[in-house]
Amino acid sequence: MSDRELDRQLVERAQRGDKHAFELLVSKYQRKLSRLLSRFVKDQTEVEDVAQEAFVKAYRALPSFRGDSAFYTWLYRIGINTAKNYLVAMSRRAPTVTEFDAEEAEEFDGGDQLRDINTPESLLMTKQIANTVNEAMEQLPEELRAAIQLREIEGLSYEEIAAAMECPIGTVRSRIFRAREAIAERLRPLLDTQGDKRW
Amino acid sequence: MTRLRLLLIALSLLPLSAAFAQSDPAAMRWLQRIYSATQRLSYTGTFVYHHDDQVETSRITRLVVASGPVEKLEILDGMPREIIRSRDQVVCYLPSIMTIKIDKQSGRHPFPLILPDQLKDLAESYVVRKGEVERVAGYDCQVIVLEPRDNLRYGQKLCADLATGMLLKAKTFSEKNDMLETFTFTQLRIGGYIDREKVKPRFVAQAKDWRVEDSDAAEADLTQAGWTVRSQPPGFRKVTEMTRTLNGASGVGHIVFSDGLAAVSVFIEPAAARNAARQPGLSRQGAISVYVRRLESHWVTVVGEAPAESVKLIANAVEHRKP
Amino acid sequence: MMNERISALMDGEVDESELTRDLNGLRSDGGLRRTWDIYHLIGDSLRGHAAPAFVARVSQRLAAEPTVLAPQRRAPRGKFAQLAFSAAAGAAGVALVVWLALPGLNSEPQQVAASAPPGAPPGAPTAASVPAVTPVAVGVENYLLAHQSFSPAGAMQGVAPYVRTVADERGGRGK
Repeated sequence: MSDRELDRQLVERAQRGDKHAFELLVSKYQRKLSRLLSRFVKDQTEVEDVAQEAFVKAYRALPSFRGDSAFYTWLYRIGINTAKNYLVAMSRRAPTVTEFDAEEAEEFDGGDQLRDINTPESLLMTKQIANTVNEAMEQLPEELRAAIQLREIEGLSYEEIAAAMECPIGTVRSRIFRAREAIAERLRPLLDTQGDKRW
Repeated sequence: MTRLRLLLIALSLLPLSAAFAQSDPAAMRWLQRIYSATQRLSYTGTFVYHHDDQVETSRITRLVVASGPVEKLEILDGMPREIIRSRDQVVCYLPSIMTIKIDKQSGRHPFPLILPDQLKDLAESYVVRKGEVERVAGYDCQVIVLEPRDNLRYGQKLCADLATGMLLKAKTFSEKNDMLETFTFTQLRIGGYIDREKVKPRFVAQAKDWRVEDSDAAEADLTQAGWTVRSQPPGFRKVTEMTRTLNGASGVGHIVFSDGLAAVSVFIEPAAARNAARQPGLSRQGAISVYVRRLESHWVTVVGEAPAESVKLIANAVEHRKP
Repeated sequence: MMNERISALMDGEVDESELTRDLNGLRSDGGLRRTWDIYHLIGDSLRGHAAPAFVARVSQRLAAEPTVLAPQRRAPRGKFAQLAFSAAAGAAGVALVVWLALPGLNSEPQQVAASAPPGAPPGAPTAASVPAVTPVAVGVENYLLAHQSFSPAGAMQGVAPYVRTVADERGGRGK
């Protein structure tokens, strides 16, 4: 099943009144969108605000999403417009965006590192999360660590990972899940103590 | 919050002119004419319902017979659906789910309900003015504008045929002047010979095996069961009260409030009823706002052609006391 | 529904035929949605960026937004559907769009989420799970049908506004 089908169904559910379905899409694309917008909004403390604004605008604009393009492509256009409006409001000249076309948006996941958001709490939190994740990764059995790295960092499909690791697809699925769950177990207490309602 | 305080707050939201202006008596007479045209005129035509960014086309025919008008609506987009309304009942034919929905008149009032004081009430909440003459579906018509006196209701722009008073176009707009929905005729023939067959249901033969959902609507006094609506937005008065069968549950309470133009319905359903799973909160489509709220072991659903604020106000004013 | 399915689902590695059931499970279970968030956070962190409060903040803002309801557009599937659409469009002479039930009040049996959604009156008891029954296709149109006869604006327009009160049911009862 393609990623696009998953997105399409989540969008349709959101269009039918299921806000949670939209939030799943936010979770999925927030980083990708933030990275994109950071090429326009140079102030890192504001990238997140602009990205949040873009998601809210996308939610309001859902009735006009026709499903003839991928959700992310549509979201990316809204993100660009939001960033442009933001820059105009800040009286900076909006950069020309002609170099970004739709296909590029879909592939845009290049090597740039998004610098940490610079507020004290979020910086601390991000660091803590990174440390926790890294520690958990180090403690994982090698085959679990390899599986989740191939998936999350190399972006391989389960089939490709199965070929790379010379094991059945079912094993890949199980390994990735166990890796995630092991890391999540360490993250949950950390996120709970932040008193963040969502967690 | 007292009605007076609510009224003052609502009035303060508007430019002074709209809040205190007088309606044009000639425009009020036009409204009267529009209502009486619905009782006098036969016609056949096609109209378009436009809301949000959706457009839907339907064929509509009205034939006035001895007992009053019989009307048929056939939706031309999507799955075939038909509605036939006469003085005593409304029947929906839904072939795709093999269902007939029947709503019989519960009391002494005919369909549709037009109250004698309606226009007087309406002038309290709206300023009614004449606009220009426009052309709709080949007919010259008079524009009548109903401008709300506060932000608790929507405005309407109507276009009525100069010759007969028949309403050819109705547009509902928000306080920000956004068009919420429009009904407009694209083709129309007023009067002339109209075949009785045109107002008969198409699916009568197949419908013999269909499921029938009868509303069993009956006038009722819901305060006897302990239900009251403690306050309403200014201008809204209770119009009628009944119980009905809705979504498979019988004894569902239904109270209607109106300000003379807009109506808001309150539905009270037991939560344990078969199909009563709901998502609470606010939603909107076109000019209709819907607000769902849980109250003890009941769901309160309020729907109406009014802004979210009014629908929410009414919903939150619903109270239950053990009788 | 298990966390293991969340893991496969977010990678797009479940069968399309199971997608509806999986998403239904997600919709009704806040714990599973939190798992979705955490698993995405792990991936983001591995790739060098984690903004854990992001989704929470967007969620807060969305809570204040009126719920969006957009009737589905039916994408014509197959040649026959295409022809049927173009014929009808020709007759009507306007853009053909499909009107569907407003499923915000859909009666598909569902568990009420364990955490009360924003806007629920404080102290409202969370409902016990609704027993599964054959779903009847109901939506807000039943309320509108009951309401429409009492609308004065509607009275001026005759039977026309009833177009809002009949949903376009597609063969089955929603998804």
